[in-house]
Amino acid sequence: MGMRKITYIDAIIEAQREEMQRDENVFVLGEDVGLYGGVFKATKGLMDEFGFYRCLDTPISESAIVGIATGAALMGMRPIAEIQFADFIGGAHDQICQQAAKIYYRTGGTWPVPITIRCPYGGDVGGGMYHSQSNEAWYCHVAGLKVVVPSTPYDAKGLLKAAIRDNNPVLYFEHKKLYRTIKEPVPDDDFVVPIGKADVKKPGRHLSIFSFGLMFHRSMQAAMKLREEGIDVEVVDLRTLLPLDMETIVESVKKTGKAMVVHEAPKYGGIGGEIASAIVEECWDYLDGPVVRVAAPDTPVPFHPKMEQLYLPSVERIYQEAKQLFEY
Amino acid sequence: MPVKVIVPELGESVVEGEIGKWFKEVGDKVEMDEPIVTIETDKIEMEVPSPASGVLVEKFAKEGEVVNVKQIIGVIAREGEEYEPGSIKPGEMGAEASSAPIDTSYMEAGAGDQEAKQEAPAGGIPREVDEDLGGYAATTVGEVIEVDFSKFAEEEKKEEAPPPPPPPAAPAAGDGAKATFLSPAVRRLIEQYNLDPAKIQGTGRGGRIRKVDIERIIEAGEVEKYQVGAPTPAAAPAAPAKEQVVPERLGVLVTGEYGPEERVKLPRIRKTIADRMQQSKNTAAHTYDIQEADLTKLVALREKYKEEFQARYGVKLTYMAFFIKAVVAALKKFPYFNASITDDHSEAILKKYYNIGIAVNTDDGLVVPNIKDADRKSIVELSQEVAELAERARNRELTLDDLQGGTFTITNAGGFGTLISCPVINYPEVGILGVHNIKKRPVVDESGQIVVRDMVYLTVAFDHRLIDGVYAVEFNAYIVEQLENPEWMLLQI
Repeated sequence: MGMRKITYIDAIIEAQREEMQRDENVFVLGEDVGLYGGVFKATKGLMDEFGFYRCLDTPISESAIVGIATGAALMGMRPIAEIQFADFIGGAHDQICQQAAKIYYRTGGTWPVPITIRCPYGGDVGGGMYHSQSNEAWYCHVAGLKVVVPSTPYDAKGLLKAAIRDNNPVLYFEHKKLYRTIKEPVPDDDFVVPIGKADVKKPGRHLSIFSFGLMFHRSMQAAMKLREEGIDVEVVDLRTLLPLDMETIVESVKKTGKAMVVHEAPKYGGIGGEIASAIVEECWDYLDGPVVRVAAPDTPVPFHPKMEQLYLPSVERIYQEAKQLFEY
Repeated sequence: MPVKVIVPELGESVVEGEIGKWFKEVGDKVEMDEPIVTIETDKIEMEVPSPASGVLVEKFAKEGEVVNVKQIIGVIAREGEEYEPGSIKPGEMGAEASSAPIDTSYMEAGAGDQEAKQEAPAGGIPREVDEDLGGYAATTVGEVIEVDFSKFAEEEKKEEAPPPPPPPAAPAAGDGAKATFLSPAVRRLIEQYNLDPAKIQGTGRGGRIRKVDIERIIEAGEVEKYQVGAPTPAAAPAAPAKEQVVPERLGVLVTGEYGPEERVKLPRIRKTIADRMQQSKNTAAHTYDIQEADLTKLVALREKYKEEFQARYGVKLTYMAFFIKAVVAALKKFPYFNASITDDHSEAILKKYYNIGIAVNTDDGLVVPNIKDADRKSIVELSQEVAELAERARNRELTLDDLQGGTFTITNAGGFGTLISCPVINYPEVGILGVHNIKKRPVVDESGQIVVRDMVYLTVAFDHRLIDGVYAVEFNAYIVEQLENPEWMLLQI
């Protein structure tokens, strides 16, 4: 087993390729995934290696993509459905929430729906309101689904494999900004990152930040800045949003007494609210300050670069909020 | 503003090209849309039109040099524009320098072939504007960051965590006693270590105690100093703010077991007084020695000089100053009265400094600030300081320092009609002098005559754990002797 440094997107390609090699029931479908290799090149080379029927170019219909995937899953296959931009997922909403999420329950556990839905999400690419959304919270509210969000290449590969092998419908949100800007040592063979397990990537004593995706990296940068001032922040990469790893979260808050959630989705109704409530409920006796959420304002993602910079939580803003919470 | 010349998109999934031929030199005039340079890739040779009319003032890439899409390769100054050479740097358009350098050692710049020529931005994921959303493969032409979080896991094992920061410069004026809210985390620690919140200086919002404040105490090994019953308490908490601390009447009549009752919320100072009183009475073996002193000479002395004194020094010539002088002389002769005894009764701590506490009655309750180094102060200075402390006490302006470090206390119960009382020792001191009403009384003098003298009763309450009766009697007698013969006191100053 060898470790080499690869990018986030290479990890995603590798995970799909290895799973498709390992299990002939695994196949990919979505818009432009086959011939073109995906608009981001996240499925590059798969059609060449596995052929047309295992790397399907679909019509422009998200509803069809997930519907086909669900049907195939019911017949024993393990589809990886790509929604080209998470922003477009609306068309598939019914298929995801009414069908995929509920068939297992509806059939008394006899018909599982082992689909993986890959969604490039997130901003900081100047994509404007229809190519930058972070809408994971919508699906965290649907029982029957799992929602994962890797922040690093290692987790991207491991979580995607886990998602493909999971017998439940799993939404896999991959951050488009991170595709080629993050590199990490990743094993070149088979390994899995368990779904439902957060990762304390930077232990600390004074304050816990819970985050994912691009915001995880910005939280890390804020933490390094605070470190110079003697403020020791624990940065936890949530990795899975549904089911939430409350055990790791509680352990962290018990240690530090101060908790902050950072996400790039708008604040109201975001996953931060759920996490904050759960922390207050379970860690009340250990809290030394309010539980704070740092998130985007409740507006669509702006297009103008300067506006977008103001919109997404910046390293500076995370730093200020954390410092304030520490001094509370 | 001068216009940058930028390498345009060179085709789908093409990220770099080579400068082919420059048609212009620096200093040449250019027209908008006129080709100024060609760029070559595997697929094509492309002419780059000028983005403006003006003069080419910068050329950042040579013929044959490899450049990236969106790289700045030149600058054109339009008519009337001033351009400072070097003010626009070559590099990638849209990459913004981040703020102050931060430790990014956990993420290193990756060495990719396309990034080789790039200057790394000062840490951080570069911001980019994707103009052509159709060519996603060319999404990022910037630096690739390599991450490795294992160093934090190693650090945690080595416990190289940075030390907690010093308290912020100006949190709030208030010590632990003002903290109105103890967070759950703080409460747990206080219970766990049996700490007294009144002793702890809070650095949080409004002066509240934060978890780190307690953690600092624990790490410094000073838990004992801050526990309930520790030997260096404040006699009463400092109340520097001027807000009302009067007990609020809740105004709720409740039905007690035997009839209607009213519950009154007590201010924190009351609790502290209660704790101290109980502690003192529970620890010291209170014993009392009462003697009377003939202060006629002292009263006459004071009568004679008090006006001049007031005029000259602006402060009243108070009896307390004389009492302090007498007490200090007695403490020097009887050092065990200026001491403490350890909890296990194995040692006496004899103090070589003389900080005399003066009991002051205020609206909030009894406070005992002390005069530091009373042995080195004159009657004038003592008078001034007594007046000042009383004033500050009544205005709630006493500091923690005023209330700590006392070695012996004097309580002046005179002026209210009390003849004799049995004061409570100010723990952890071992004695307290109670001075009472100076009253003219008929006494029998040396020759057997009945005469009128200014008499006062002096009570010395002492801790029988350390001090025995004879010692205490002699101590008291010595004070009496001093006060009865003020000129004798003068000789020993």
